Amino acid sequence: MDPKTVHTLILIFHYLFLVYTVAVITSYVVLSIISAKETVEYKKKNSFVNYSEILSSSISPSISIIAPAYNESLNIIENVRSLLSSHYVNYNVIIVNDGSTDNSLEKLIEAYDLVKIDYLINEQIITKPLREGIFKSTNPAFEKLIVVDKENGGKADALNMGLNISNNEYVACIDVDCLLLEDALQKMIKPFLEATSVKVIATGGVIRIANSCVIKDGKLIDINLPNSLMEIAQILEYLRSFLLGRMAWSRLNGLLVISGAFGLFDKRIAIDVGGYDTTTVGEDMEIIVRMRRFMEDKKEKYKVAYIPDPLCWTEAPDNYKTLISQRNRWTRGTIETLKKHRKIGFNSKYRSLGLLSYPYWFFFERMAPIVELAGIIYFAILVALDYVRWDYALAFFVAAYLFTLTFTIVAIFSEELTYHQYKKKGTGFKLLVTTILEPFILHPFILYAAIIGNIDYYFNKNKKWGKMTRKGLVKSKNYQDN
Amino acid sequence: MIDYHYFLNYYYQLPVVLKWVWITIIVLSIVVFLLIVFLKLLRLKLRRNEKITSEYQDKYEALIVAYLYSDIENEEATEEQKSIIKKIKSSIKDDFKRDIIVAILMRLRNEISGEMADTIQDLYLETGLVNSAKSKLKSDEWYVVSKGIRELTQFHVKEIHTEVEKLVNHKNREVRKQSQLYLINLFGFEGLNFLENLTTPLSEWDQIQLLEILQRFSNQKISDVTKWLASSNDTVVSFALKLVKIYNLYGVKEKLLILFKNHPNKEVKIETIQVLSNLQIVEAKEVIKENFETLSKEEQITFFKAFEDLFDIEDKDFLLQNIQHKIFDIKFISLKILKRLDTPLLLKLPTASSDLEYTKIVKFLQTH
Repeated sequence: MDPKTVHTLILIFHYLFLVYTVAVITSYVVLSIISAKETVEYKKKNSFVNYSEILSSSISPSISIIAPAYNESLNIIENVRSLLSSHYVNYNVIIVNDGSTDNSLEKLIEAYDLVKIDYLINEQIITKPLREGIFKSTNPAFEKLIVVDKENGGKADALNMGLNISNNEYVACIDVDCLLLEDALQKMIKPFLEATSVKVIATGGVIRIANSCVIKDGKLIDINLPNSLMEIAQILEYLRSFLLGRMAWSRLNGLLVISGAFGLFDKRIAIDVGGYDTTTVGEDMEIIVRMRRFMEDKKEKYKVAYIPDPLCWTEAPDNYKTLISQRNRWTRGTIETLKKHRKIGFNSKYRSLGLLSYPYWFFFERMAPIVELAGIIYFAILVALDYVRWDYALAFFVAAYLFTLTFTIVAIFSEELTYHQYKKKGTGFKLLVTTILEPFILHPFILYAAIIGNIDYYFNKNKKWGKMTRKGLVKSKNYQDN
Repeated sequence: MIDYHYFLNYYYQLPVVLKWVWITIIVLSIVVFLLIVFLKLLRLKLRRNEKITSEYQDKYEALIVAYLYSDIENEEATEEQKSIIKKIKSSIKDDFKRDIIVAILMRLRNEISGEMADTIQDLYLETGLVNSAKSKLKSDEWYVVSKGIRELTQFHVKEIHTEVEKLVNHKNREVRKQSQLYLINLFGFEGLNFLENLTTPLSEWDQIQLLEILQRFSNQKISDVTKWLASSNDTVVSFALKLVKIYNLYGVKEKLLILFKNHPNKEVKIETIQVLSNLQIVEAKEVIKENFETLSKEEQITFFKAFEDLFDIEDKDFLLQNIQHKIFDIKFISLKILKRLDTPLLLKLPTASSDLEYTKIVKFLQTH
């Protein structure tokens, strides 16, 4: 190849990077504007809502909370108590003990006066078989509780067992260690009941990070920022994702993922599509894509709704090892889902799902770490060959950094103007300091996890879920100190 | 001293893309700086607002409570009351204070009953707050109109009902909802007449709210629902069915059967089956049985679930026809009812079948 051709190719490569970057930034700006508009509208509408009426109504629809548990004996009693304290009337709680090897079941039996019952399961989705069976409480105070003990089959399999057991119209699939606010169910059910011209198939809620928050008897008492910068950085990341990203995708009816930590589903449709996929580690995203595809194929009008209220609080990783393991799994989940449903991508038959949501996820979520890594490697080669114009490079770095700052501060703004959860003096300063440091203390690790996730996906097929060591929210340090 | 010419010369010799990058850097630097300043100011403002709101709340609540306890027996306003009205009138010129005062009055109106509640109502009218609420109905903003209607509802301002009634089909859903809530809250079952003119959908959420409010009235005399059962608006029919179910309106039995036979909407049919079972209309069972094969899967399941307790020994053949139905729920309920009606028969049923679900259910019922 002659030097002129090489030069042209390098130039094309440069401009591809530039176009990609401009496209990412533009999409973020557009999504932020849509989100801001949608959030304001939601807040205005919500100021008229009286949730107490749905609570006491005998005709409110029935909901099952399905919470899979695996070796959660440390906090299982308190977590179940939290799930049983919802203010909604017509609901039950199905705890699926997914082959735990600890004493979770024994603790539950003792704490909630459980006895084994005869229950014929309509096995609409194939799951691993029962182990000890199905239990209900003899104490009327816990009549809403059902505990299922089954052989280990993973989170998706446990959720499928819950879908088989539930007799209710809607199912709320949640992580057992999540703290659900008392009014979460009535807020989540609202989009299903409000829709008249489209069918709402699922609703997602905002997940907030509860590290360092004070929790007593399954209730959120005091909201604090954690001391560790890495944990605060995750809070910022969640704010960006939930307040600026998902709200906009909900408006565009293009939401592809509902967090596995908390989502409410139309049970009939969840079963009709075959329940959760047990072969992927990204079952939360996969089921939404499959449900959407199902509705598109049926040519039925539908919507995946989203509630921006902070309804569900969860524990985020407090060390890099756990964080990397979690993000590695998220990456593999995304790749698996997009690959499995590649038929949707760029397919006009699937309208906005095929032409907007899927391409966005493919280019800006799935490909982002690969493009970034390619950029880093290319930059390293240029440095090694002494081909770098440092003043040019610096200008690009500064521009990218400033854009990250802008976007994160806008997310904080959005939080302050809407839910204003971090009220305490000094928290604003802490959030700003972390905003400045986040590109150095969090992003490199997330990029690393995503790259490892890609490698694991292609070269380490046996890798499944990573291990998340729970410290437990119920006995938070602050609470003990208080 | 900074040599600006050096920077300008550097900038002018840059390629176009780099020039834009530097412009972006300057713009973003200003934006970031301004955002940080505004964020600080916003947090300060939010904290101050919370403090001021709390102070004003205490101040106006004390004032309103003083008004309420100032010679309640006397029909004429006392000097103290006149002075309080004057203070409130001057405060409501400020929208921020007005909202606080209205919120306090609304809360007290909900918490207090009897003469005190009437006094709050008088205060609301005396201070002229009612006029600003009425004027909101003319706004182009849905949010303002809805707020106005909600306020008028809370303070039982009935004289504005003709204007509110015109809004039941408003293009904005919230305005529609608030106007419907106004009519029901203030006029009870009479307020339901808006259903005759309702062309927009009444969501399940709206229906639940309206039904809950209706149940609070001591006078539970419901008007004729037959015209709503015949409505061309399916959501009105659905609402009417809920009224029939909750208020046990046996008189519309024939209309329900017609609805079951003729209504094209599957959801309406399902709801009709549930209401028929709820009212324990046994003849409906025969009608549905006759049409069973023509029903959708969901309608068939609803029928079996809803009529589970209404089946008797006369239905044995029908149940036996369905013990190997393709739908699990129907199989299970049929066999469960058979066990209740004729246990020896169930015990005699063969356990071996190509239908594995059937086998599983029979074995379960025979042993449990």
